[in-house]
Amino acid sequence: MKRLSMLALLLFSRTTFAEPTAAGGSPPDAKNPQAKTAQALVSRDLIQPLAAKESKRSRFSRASLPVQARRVRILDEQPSKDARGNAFVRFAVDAHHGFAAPVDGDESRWQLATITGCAYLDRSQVFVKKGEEYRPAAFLLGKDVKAAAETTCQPAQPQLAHAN
Amino acid sequence: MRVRSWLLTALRVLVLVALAAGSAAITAASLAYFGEELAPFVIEKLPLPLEDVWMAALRIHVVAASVCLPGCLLLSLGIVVRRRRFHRWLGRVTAAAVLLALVPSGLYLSWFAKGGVPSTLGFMLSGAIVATAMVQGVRTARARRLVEHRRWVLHVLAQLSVAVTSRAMLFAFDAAAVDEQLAYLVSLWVPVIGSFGLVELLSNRPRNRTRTAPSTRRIHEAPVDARPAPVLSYDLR
Repeated sequence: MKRLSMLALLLFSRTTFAEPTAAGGSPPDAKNPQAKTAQALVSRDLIQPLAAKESKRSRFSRASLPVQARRVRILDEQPSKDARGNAFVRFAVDAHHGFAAPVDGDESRWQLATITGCAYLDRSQVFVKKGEEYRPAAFLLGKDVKAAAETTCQPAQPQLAHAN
Repeated sequence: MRVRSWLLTALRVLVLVALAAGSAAITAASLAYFGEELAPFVIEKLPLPLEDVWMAALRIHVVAASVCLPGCLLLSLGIVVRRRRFHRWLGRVTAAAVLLALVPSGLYLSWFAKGGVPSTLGFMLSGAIVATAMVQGVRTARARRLVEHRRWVLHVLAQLSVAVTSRAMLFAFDAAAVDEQLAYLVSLWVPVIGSFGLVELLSNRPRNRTRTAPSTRRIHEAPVDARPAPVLSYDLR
């Protein structure tokens, strides 16, 4: 009886069949003009060239297969400044695999943050994170580019008040 | 019975053609590792410790694979089996490529395989089967134990075919939007174990032809122990 009541509780619980929510801590979509500009920049410099490159690629490889769709999420509402005083916003790119086209509101088919990085709007530069380093977006397009300076995409540490 | 035999022959031809096409497709895709631009597979792996060593291992592996799988497919053809001299030389080249290049480079690459430890173990198991079977294949050929030789070299071919079958499975899993890590592991382990099991199944299958009327044409299927040596001057030395 106790087991039955437990089962009933589980079945009729509000959370058991709850609709999947967006990923935990889902960032705000591009609503403000800066975020929209950043989204457009990442799309122009990374997503579109990547899709064009992948369309010509062999699918008979052990590398991850080309995705069916990608979307850019801007993670910061306001730009941060790095140690050099340059403003940037962080972004994440989600990927959708399979033959079926993405359905609005169905988050379950999206792989979150398959690419992360940051965009410098003033300089129109996009960097992607690889390991612990950031590299220009051209890296994902096959260019053998060096890692960016350590300050890239890192918010400047707030100045600590001297104790004495 | 004749229909069954015809179906088996058709199936065998289909498998060989599919493997040859798959091998050609893999070789064509591997050309990207020799260009100036970084290939997607390389981009995924970076950063790596000893990047140059890994890159050299990858290039050795793909060049060796482009020789070994077509080599094994050729060696399995009746027309090549009957040309003993060519069969011996092609066998030597393939065995050397497998044991000196394909397996060692593959074992190094397996340490950095996608999917972590289970994936590394899967590639290592496949490499160990290939190396053991190839050594045994050479030994049994030299000893003229050709039925055993057939069994061992079939194991080599079966494990090399994993390169094709696992990629086909990855393609199917991607179409079905299966989780990438899971798909990678299943597409590795199922063909490795499945190919091994299939060869054992085929090798232990009772063969009517050898029991009743031994063929003089298909030396791989002949009951070698019952045959005088001069008829089969099949010597690797």
